[in-house]
Amino acid sequence: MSQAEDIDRIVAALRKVPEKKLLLIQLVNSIPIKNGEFDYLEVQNKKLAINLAIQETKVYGAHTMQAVEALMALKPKAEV
Amino acid sequence: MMRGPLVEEAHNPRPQDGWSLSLLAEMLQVGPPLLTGIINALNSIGDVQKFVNLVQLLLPEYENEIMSAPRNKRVYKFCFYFGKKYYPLPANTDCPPAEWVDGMPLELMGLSYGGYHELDMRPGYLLMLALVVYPYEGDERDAEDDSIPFNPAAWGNSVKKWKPAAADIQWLKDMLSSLAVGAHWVAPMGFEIVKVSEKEFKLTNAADTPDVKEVLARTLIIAEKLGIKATFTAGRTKEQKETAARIPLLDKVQDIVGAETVRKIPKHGWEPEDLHKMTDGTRFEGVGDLADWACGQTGCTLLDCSYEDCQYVEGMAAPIFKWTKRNVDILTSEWPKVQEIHARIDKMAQWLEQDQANHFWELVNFLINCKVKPTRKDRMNTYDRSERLCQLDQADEYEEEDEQEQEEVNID
Repeated sequence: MSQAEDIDRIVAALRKVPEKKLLLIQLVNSIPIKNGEFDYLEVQNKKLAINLAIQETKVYGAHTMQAVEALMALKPKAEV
Repeated sequence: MMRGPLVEEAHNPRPQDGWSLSLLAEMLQVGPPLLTGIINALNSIGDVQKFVNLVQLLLPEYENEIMSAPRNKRVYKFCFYFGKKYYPLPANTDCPPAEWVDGMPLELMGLSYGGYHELDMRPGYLLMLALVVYPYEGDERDAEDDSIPFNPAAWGNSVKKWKPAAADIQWLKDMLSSLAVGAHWVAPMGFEIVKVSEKEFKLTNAADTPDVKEVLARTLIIAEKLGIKATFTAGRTKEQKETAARIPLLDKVQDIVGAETVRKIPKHGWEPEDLHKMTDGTRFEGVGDLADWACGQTGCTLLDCSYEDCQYVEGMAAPIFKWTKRNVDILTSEWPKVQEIHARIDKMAQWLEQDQANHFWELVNFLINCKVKPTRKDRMNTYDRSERLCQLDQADEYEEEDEQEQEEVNID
């Protein structure tokens, strides 16, 4: 298989990965910026939701790392 | 204070040929924020709010400039504008705002009791200090013997000629081998040692008796024969501290300028007021200021207080000074005077250091010829250590406990 075909195959595989909409991104987009930082009062008001979103992000990140490590552990396979 | 201009320069670094291009590159790097960056920003929002409050309290007119800077440059900006408005902060500008808001950076330059006795200062300061009365006369710390109130290595010629017998050598070998590293051995006659390693022990305590002195001197001779390192800090007795506190200082100065000059200095030295009277307005101006500094009476907190005069929160290695308007106002109003005094002392110290023996001889002769009779204050009965306590607002133990309790209530 040529390099171009390899790339096409990987792009096709990545397209199949479902889109991940992290709650954290939605939340921080809803918080106004004040003094170059998130608005303190708004963050306090949304504290519970933010804590939940942070946990979700950390779990997502941990799973991603596991997947990356699993891929890196795969041994190269000779082409048939 | 006692370290010279090179250290001052290091505290205020400026690039010689302009700022490096890496700073520009850092500013031009843009991209979507990392998830970890977002999480950190949310988690540290409380500290950021405290930092904003601090900026609004002290530098409200620069709030936009400071807060619009990248996070890792805000403390630097704060210091820059603070220095313009109040006084220069002795700051580690790389420190994150979270640590910054906990306490204001402060470099106390007062001469502490420990600092006086360690005598670890530049020659110009040592020479001038030799002219000044002992500032800690009457201090309670002089009212007790040091843990080793003599020099065990300087005990009589008779012991130096002594030759240890085989049994003496065996005794030290057996005693050390019976101890684990770090273990203490207390001799019933009145001394204590700790085994540092297989080839080293440290003397930690000793009673001031002829028997103990002799045994220790002999022990050091045996240790030397065995190739065992023996360490100790030679101290002084209560009497020596109370009546001859200036002797180690004069000995050190004698090593620098010779005995003839030192012999001319009055036994107790001069009071700061006398030195001011004699040297102010002359080419020796600065000597009186050094005397004020040594006696903690310059009237400037930074120069009169040392870290020995502060409150400490348990577990903290340094006192925590609060960011209060009062502290900032005190330090700002004193800053011009601090600079003036510092400059006068340093100028005099530098002149003395240019030709230590001759310049000091010149200074001592000038003072003697002034014919001002040394004033002798009764410090022994009037000394009050609390007068030296740092008056700046500091975090204390009880306050920390209250804050912790308040946080626990908030969490509940």
